[in-house]
Amino acid sequence: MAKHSSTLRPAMEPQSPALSTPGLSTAFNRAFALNWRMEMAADDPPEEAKPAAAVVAAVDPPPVALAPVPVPVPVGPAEMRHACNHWLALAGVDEERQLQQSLYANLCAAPPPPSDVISQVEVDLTRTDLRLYECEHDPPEQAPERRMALRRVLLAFARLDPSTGYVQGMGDIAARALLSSAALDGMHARANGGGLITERAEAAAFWWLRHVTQSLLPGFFAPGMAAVWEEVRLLRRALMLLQPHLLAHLDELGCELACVAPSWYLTLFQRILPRSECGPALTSLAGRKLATTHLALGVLLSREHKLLAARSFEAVTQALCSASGAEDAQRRVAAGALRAAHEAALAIPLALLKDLSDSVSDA
Amino acid sequence: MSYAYLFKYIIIGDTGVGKSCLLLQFTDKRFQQVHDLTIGVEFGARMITIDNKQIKLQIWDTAGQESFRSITRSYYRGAAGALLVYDITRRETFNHLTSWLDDARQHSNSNMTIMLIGNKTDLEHRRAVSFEEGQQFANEHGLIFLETSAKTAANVEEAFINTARRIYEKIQQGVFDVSNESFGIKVGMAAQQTGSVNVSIQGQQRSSSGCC
Repeated sequence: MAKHSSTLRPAMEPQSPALSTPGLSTAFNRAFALNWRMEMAADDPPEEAKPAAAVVAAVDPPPVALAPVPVPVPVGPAEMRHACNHWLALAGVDEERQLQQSLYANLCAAPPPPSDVISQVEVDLTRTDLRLYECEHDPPEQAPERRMALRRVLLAFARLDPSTGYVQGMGDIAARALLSSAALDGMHARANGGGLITERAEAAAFWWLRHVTQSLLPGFFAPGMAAVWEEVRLLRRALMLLQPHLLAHLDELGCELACVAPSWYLTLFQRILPRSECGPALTSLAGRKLATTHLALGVLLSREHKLLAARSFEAVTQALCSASGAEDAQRRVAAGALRAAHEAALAIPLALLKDLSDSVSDA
Repeated sequence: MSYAYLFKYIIIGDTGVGKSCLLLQFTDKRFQQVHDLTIGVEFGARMITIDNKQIKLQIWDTAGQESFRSITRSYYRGAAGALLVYDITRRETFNHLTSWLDDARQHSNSNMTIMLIGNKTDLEHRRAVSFEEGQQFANEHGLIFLETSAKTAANVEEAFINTARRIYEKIQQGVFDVSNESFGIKVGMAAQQTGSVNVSIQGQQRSSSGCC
């Protein structure tokens, strides 16, 4: 701990050039705040760095002041309608899809991947979190159609990157994009008196999966999953810096982050976050490095009280293995807890996380 | 609830052999035809009784896909027992046992008790691996062996409890230094009250009567 702190300190000096850019997380903050606004449909004042500053204040040396981020407030039903897959747009999925329109179709028409990949995908389609198929605009009778679409997406991806192929967890990630995109299409289609449009949604799910595996979780699904371990080590160091007592508590109960966190990343937080939090959380991941680390810290900090109150391995792992872990003792989803905790996590300057990340890579 | 000992178990084996269903049957006494994919590891716990002693089983249910092997390897540490599961209707899951066993032996403590389980005996008409083959593999590698059905619950209790019994016997024989938690065994408060273990303790977690 002491060793790590000393190596980190230079990065936290206010004069550090790396930190002299208060806008380092501007785009991320803006995207994040934008979506929270849509979710909460609230009229609170523009986002402040107040909770963030409070957390950083606990860390020695003194906090780095983050400039308030101007937040564009969406108005009108059109923006709200787009909110459900705003994260897809932010990830550039639409642009990619239009730019390389034929790639997905070509991959679908290409020779099939090895038979063991196909059979694994098929078995897993029925075992992918069925809650992801429940959607307001996606009647149950269309579930088989959705599954076939998801099958095509996963097999196309296995053709695109045969060395990675198909890894369990990808289904959760692609299904979310497929449904979110299809829901929007369905709304438009109904307005025009037509049926569901699935080709666009399918291609969007494919590009989202590619974006996730290349940009958000690079190397996480590669053989050996070394990137997962690196990320977990980084998360541990970041938590040690931010809330050492929470980390000590988890350690004392035998709950290592390596037990619970890999599944967060490999499903892109789809199972650990309550459904209402998924959209905004995905938006927060757009276009920024180390965003998954911030989000994972947000998950931990948002459940801090519950975790600290837990007195057994079972209680802490339960709180960290499912979306219901976000509920407090009164079985009430702690509204806004993730939002606040995520904001606190965002206060960890990117440069500092990078520094931690480098030291993890060197280790 | 107080326990005399806590044993850590790990359930391993190819994807789709029924690891999570075995755990659910053991902890909740129910079967779920379609179980969510296990990504990484999931956890279960149940109290059992052996030799009038309350023993808590802390069970780690792992992902079976080959891609997750490196992650699963880190979960063997500190396990007292392993349930190595194959599907009697899919021969390839039996063929992969050696590779699983290599992993288990290499990444666990040498005294870890391993129970080999041929699951899905309710699908007898689709059987691809005979009981004798399973038994022979177990004999050759020094494993305990049972065939189970997570669906009908046949032998599920026995699979978990016989493993615990074997671990308990090793404790009695002094094989383990139980103060060293790397063996996957924790001594609870109840173990320190020799001869005064309350065998009638019943809490929220079901307690077995020690059937074997």
